[in-house]
Amino acid sequence: MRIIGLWSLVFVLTASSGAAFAEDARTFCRSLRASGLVSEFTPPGTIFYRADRQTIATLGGEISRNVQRLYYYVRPSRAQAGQASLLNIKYVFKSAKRNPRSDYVQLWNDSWDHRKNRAYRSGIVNACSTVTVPGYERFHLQGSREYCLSTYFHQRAPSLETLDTDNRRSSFAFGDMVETSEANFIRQLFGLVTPGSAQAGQVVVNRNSLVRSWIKNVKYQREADRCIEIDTEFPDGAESFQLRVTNHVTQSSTYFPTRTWTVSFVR
Amino acid sequence: MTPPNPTTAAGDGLENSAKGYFETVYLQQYGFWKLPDLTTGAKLMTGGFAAILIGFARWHMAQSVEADKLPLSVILTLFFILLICGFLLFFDRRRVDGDYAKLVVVVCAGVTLGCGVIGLDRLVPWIVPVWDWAGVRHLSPGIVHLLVPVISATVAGFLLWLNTIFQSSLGEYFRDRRVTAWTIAIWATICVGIWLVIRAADLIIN
Repeated sequence: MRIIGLWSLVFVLTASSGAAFAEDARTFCRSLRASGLVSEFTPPGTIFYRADRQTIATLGGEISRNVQRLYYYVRPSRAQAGQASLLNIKYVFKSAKRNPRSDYVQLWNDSWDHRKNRAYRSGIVNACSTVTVPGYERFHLQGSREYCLSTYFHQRAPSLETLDTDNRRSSFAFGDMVETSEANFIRQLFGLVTPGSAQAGQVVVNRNSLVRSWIKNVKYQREADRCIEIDTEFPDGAESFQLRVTNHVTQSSTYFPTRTWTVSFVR
Repeated sequence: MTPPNPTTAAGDGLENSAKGYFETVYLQQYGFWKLPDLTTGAKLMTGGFAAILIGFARWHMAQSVEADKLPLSVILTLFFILLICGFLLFFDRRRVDGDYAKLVVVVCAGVTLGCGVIGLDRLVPWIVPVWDWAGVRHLSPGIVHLLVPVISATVAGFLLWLNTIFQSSLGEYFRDRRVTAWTIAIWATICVGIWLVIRAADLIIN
């Protein structure tokens, strides 16, 4: 009995401490508003996180490895109120160790959560589990075909068609975030320029990086603000990460506000 | 005595290889036992063109074309093709020595042709409409991934069929039940080959 009691206590303590650092977005947003850190004058696109149970911090250049979840705070402008909007959130790691899943982009679209048919949902997850980093880039920049990306990852009407223009399509690419060193014979044969080649002066993330990308489909309401969860699973050997959020604002807009964070881990 | 000119010898070799290759392409048919024996040069050229078209199809289907993945996928696909061809030929009582190599050549030519059909999507988009069609019918992603190999193998198979008719005649084709049976078997093997080379082999490797 004592052992069971002890284990129960350990479980409760573990669960409660975990909940304090990885609460859901609504709870966090309530705490954020109560803390007075945000107001109607707060610039949109700020990332916050729980530094400890009491403290909410703004994401800067350094972060502790213990942080389990980040929250992207977004407040719509009056012009976009009530219109569908999309956030594309992507992050890559700079890692010293080889990650066996590094060749694949880990994708998630929050609309998948709303699928009622479990088998169909797992089919989507399965179909989207083998998208390679170069393949993801070629789809967005060079018109390659990828079933998961064109059917499930991107929003289709009536929600929002994210592939309707080249500009919109290419904004989903990792671009300079990932160096996709395709030492392939096709490039050697035809001299094709592969996308994502890092240019001088830009941050280079090696091929062993874990690459993630999400689409968070957010429909704004008039004067409503939101916190979008960004789960952080830092693999062993991760030294720093880059996080980039592109806000697709509205269907008609051609300018997409983008912000990039380059964050290293506190030693 | 004048020594042979190495440049001319190499040129002749290339010319003969190209000639052998185009002869092989011209004679492709479901009645593979009617094919002549391939020269080494023709085999090399067949392999070279196959590598280019397979690589391009993989590139177009957003699969890895990196130096460490592409050859492995092709080798694995070839291994399964060799296995399936051996299995199928085992049931053919009229087989003779040399048929195995000829059957593998026809299947590989079909897979290469199918990859060419996939690459043709760059000029005449047909893949997205197929996926849209599948999406409207709520087909599972696993089945949808088979559609591209099946359609491209069917087009390649049809071209092979036309060439078979061209090499013999329509009446002769339907009279010979062996050719009819091998048409189905080769088409199915081409389907599997294309499916392996553009998707399934990667899943096995990883």
